[in-house]
Amino acid sequence: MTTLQTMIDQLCAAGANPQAAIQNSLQETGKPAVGCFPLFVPEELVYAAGFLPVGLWGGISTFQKSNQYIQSFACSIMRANLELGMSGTYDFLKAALIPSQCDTLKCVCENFKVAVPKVPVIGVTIPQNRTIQAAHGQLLDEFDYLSQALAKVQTPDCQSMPLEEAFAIYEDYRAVMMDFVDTVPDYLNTITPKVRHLILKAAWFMDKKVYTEKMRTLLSLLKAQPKEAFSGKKFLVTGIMLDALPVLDLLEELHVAVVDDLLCHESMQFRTPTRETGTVESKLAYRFLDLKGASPLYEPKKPRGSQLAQLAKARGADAVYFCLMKFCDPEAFDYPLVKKDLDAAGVPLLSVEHDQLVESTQQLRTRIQGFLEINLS
Amino acid sequence: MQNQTTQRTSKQWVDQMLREHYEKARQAKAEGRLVCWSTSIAPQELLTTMDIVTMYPENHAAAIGARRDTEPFISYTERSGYSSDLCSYARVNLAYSEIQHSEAENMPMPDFLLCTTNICHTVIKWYENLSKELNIPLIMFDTPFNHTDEVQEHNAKYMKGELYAIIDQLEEITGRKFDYDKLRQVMEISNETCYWWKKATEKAAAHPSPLDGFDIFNYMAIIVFARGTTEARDLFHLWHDELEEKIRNHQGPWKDQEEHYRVLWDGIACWPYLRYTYKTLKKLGINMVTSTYPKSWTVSYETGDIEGMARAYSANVYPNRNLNYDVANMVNLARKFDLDGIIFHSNRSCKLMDFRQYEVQRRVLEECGVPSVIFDGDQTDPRLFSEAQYETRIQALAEMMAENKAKKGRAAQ
Amino acid sequence: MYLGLDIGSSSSKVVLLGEGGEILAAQVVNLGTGTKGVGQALEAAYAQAGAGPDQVAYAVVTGYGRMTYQGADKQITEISCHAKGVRHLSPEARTIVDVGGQDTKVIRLNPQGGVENFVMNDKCAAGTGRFLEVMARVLDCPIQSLAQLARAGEAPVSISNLCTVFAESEVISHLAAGVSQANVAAGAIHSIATRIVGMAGRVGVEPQVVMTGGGALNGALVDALSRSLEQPVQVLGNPQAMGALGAAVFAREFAQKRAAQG
Repeated sequence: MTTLQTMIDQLCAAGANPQAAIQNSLQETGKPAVGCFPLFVPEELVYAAGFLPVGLWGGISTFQKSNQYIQSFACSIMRANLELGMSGTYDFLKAALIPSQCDTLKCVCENFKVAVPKVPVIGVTIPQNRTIQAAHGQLLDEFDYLSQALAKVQTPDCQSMPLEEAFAIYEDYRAVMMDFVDTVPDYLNTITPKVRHLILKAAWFMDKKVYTEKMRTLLSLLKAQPKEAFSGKKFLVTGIMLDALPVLDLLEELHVAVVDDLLCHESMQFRTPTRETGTVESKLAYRFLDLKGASPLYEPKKPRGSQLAQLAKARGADAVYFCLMKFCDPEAFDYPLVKKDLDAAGVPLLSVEHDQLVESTQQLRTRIQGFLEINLS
Repeated sequence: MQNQTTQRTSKQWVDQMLREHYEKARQAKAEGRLVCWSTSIAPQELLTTMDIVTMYPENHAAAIGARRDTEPFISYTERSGYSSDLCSYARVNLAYSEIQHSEAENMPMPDFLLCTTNICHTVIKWYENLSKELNIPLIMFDTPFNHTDEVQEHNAKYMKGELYAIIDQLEEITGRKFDYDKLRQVMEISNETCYWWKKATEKAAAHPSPLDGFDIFNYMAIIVFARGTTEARDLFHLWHDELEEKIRNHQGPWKDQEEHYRVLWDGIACWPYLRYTYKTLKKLGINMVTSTYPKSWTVSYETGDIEGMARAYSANVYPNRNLNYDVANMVNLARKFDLDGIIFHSNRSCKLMDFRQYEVQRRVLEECGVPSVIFDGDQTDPRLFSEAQYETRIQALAEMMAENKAKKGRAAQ
Repeated sequence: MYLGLDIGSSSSKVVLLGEGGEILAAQVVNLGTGTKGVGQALEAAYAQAGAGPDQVAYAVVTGYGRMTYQGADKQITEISCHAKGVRHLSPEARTIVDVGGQDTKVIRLNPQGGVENFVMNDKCAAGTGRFLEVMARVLDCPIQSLAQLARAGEAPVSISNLCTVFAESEVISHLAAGVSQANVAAGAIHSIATRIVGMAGRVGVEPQVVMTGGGALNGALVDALSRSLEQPVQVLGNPQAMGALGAAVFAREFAQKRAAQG
C-alpha cells in the first residue's frame, strides 16, 4: 500500500541521491539526457526534443581540477559543475544548456567547452531587458536556435513531441507544484525543511511527467491527513538555493519550518503564472519575461523586497531567511535593498552567507539561534 | 591664445580636459541641464545627440582609487550591508551616491542612468540599486554575451530594437525630438576619435616603443567620456603625431631607462598602486606596450547604421566575447606588438575578466610561446593587493623573459 | 547557587552566582571545547565558592561547546549571554564588542538591555583573536605581551590587507624593510580595530561601548578601538568571563521563574 511516508521517502531519496535518481530515470524512460545549468532555461524545448532534462546545480565541496580554470572566489555551484564535468560525472549527457545569466556563468560556459569536451555546450541567451518588445522577439528566435542545436545532438532514442505537448506536461507539473507549495504550510511537522527541499530537488532528476504523478499521489495523501498545528517559528527562505542539509537539519532542530521559498532552485522554477493567450512559444517566452524576484535577472524598481514582505505576510512567516550564496554578486547587491524594504515592512530578516554545502554549522547555529532568541522569543 | 593651444602637448591637454570635465559638468547641472550616469562603453552617441551631460562612475571611482581615497566609501558600503567581495567600482560609487562628496572630484548627481551590459552583468545590479535608491529612471542596453564566435543575428535584431527603445525613452525624459541628422554627425566624430585612439595606441608596436604604456591609462579617461567630441579626436590625433615624431627620433618610452622587455597588461589597472606597479616594471626595463582593456573603446561602425552600432557595442568589448576570441585577440596582440610577456591582473572586482584568464594564459603560451604571470589585486580596493606578491611575480616574469631572450640569441648565432 | 558556563573555542569560563545575584566565583581556563578545561574551570570555581555541584539550582551553558555539554538545564547563545552579563554590570551599556578566539561580534542593545541587532565576522579571520595570534607569531612575541609591544610603537605601519595570509606577508615585508617590531605590532592592532569598526557600522554604535572576550585583555586593542570609534570603550570586571556571567544571570532568572510558576 502506498502511504504518505513511502511517497515522501521515495522522493526524498531521489533528491538526496541525484546519481541514482538520474540512472533510474534514464532506465525508466529510455531517453537520453541533456543537462540544464542554473538558473532558468526553457526545459520544455529539451523535453519536446525527446530528452530527459537533468538539473546541474553543483553538489560537491572539494575542488581540484576546476582550479585549473577558475579562481577560488567563484561561487561554489559553478566550481562544482566544472569539477563534476571534468571528473566525468556528466559524460552521460548528450549536451549541456548553459545560460549566460551572470558573469560567472558566462565564463563557466566558455571553460566548460574546453574542460569537458565530451559534453557539447549549448549556450542560452535569455535577454535581460525584459520589458521591451524586442525581448519577446529575441526569445522566439532564441527558441528556434536552441531547438536546432538540440536537434543536432538527438539520438535515435529521442522520442520527440510537439512543443504544445511538452508545454502541457510542464503546465500540469507547475500546477501540482504550486498546489504542493500552498499545502505545505498546513503540514509543517511532516514537511520539515529538509523534506520540503529534497522533494522539490527531486524534480531536477526525474522525468517531469513521472515526477508530477508521484507528486499528485503524495499531495492527495498529504491532504487526507488532518492539518497540523506547528508550534515553532516559520521562515520564508530566499536566495539562489538552500541545499546544505546540515543547515536544514539545524533549522529543524531549532524548531524552524520553511513555510515557503523564493529560491531560484525551488519554487521560482514554477511560480510564474503562465499567460492565457498567445502561441505556445509566446507563452514560453513570457515565462521568462514575467519571472520576478530572481536577483540575476534585471527588474526595474527592484520589487524583490516588497514581494518577500507580501509573501511573508500571506504565509504567516515570522521572518525571512536570506540565504546568501558566497561569491554570488547579484545576491550580494540585492541584500542591502531587500533589508531596507523588509525593515520598513517590519519583517525580521536573517541573512546567512555560505557556500552551497557547509561542513560545520557551528557558527551558523549561534547566528540562527541568536536571531531566534532576539527577534522571535 | 591660438599660440598657446598649438604649443601644448597632448599630455597637458589631457590634464586640462580632465580638470574641465567635472567642472563643466557641475556648471551644466547648476544651469539645469540633464545629467546621466553611464557605464563606460555605452552608446554615448545617443546621449551626445540629445546634448545630455554624461558622467562615468567607473572613471570617477578609478580617480578616487588612484588618489587612495577609497576608504570612506568602502567602509560606508560595508556599513550599508554590501559584501566586500563585490566590485569595488560599484562599492565606491554606491557610497558616493549617498555621501556626494569626494576629495578627488565631485561628480554631479544624475537625473537618469544608462546601463550597458557589454562590460559585465554586475553593472545591472549596481545601476538597479542606484535607480531605486535615487528614484530616477534607468535605461538598459543589454548586449547578450556572445558564446558563439560572432554576434548572433537575432541578438543584433534585439539590440537594434533596444537602441530604438532607448531613443524613445530619451525623448520622453528630455521632452525633445531625437535628431537623426545630428546622430550621424556624432557617429562620424566618434568613429574618427576611435580611429585616432587606435592609431595612436598602435604606435607602441615600434621598437623601442615611443609610448610609455601606463600613459594609456591616463588617456583612457578621455576616450571614456569624450569619444563623441572633436576635442578628443584632435587630442588623439596630436598624441599620434607626437608618437610618430618620437619614432622618427628613435626615442623610447623613457629618458632614464631602456626598454628591455615589452609586455601586455590584461585587465584593469590597480589604481591605488598605479605608481608602485609602474615603477616595479620600469625598474626592470619592462614597458607595457599594450593592454586588452583600453582597446575596448575602439567602437567602429558605418555612420548612420543603428544595427551596426549595436553590433559594435556587443562585439568590441572582449569580456563579452567567447574564449576563442579572447585567445585570438591576445595572440594577435602578442605578434603585432612583439611581446616578451603578459601580466594578468586577477582583479577581485571583475569575475568576468578573471575567470577565463587561466585558459587564455595556457593557449597563448601554446600558440606563441609568450610567458606570463598572474597576480592578485583589485582595481580600487587597496586592501586586496600585496606589494611583495606583485614584485616577486614580476621578477619571475622578468627571469622567464630573460631566459627566452637568451635562447633566441643563442638560436640566432 | 546558579551556574553559568561558557565553553569557547580556546577557553572555558565558569561563573557562580549567589541567591542575591552576587558573584561567588569566576574562573577562566585557557583550554576550550573538547578538553579538560571545562572540568578544571568548574572544579576551580567550586573551590573558590566553597561549594559543590549539588548546590547548583540551575545551570545555563553557552559558547561553541554548548551543544555537546550535557550537565546544564538550558543552552543559550553567546550573543544573549554577553548582553545579559554586560547589562548585569552596567545598565548604561548599549554596544558590546566581543573579540573571541574564532568570532568577533558586535551586539547592539536597546535601552531596556535587550539585543536589538548583532553582526558576526564572516569566515575570514581578520578582526578576530585568531588574527592577533597570527600577528604575535610573526612578530615572535607571546600573545600576552603584544599589547605592551604595540604601545611602544610610535609610528604604526599601515596594514591594509583584508586577508590574513596577505596581511602576514605584508607584516613580514615591513619587518624586512627594517620597521620596528613595536610599530608593526601597533599597525596590526590598528588594523583589527579598523575591521571591527567596519562591522560595528552595520549595526550602529551607541555609547556606552563595552568590550568583552579575550581581545578585551589587550589594552592596546581597547585603546585603538576607542580611538577609531571616537568614544570611550569600557572593560568591565573579567571581560573573558562575561558570557559565563550572563549565563549565570539567566540561570538565576529561569530558576526564579520556575519557582514562581511552582
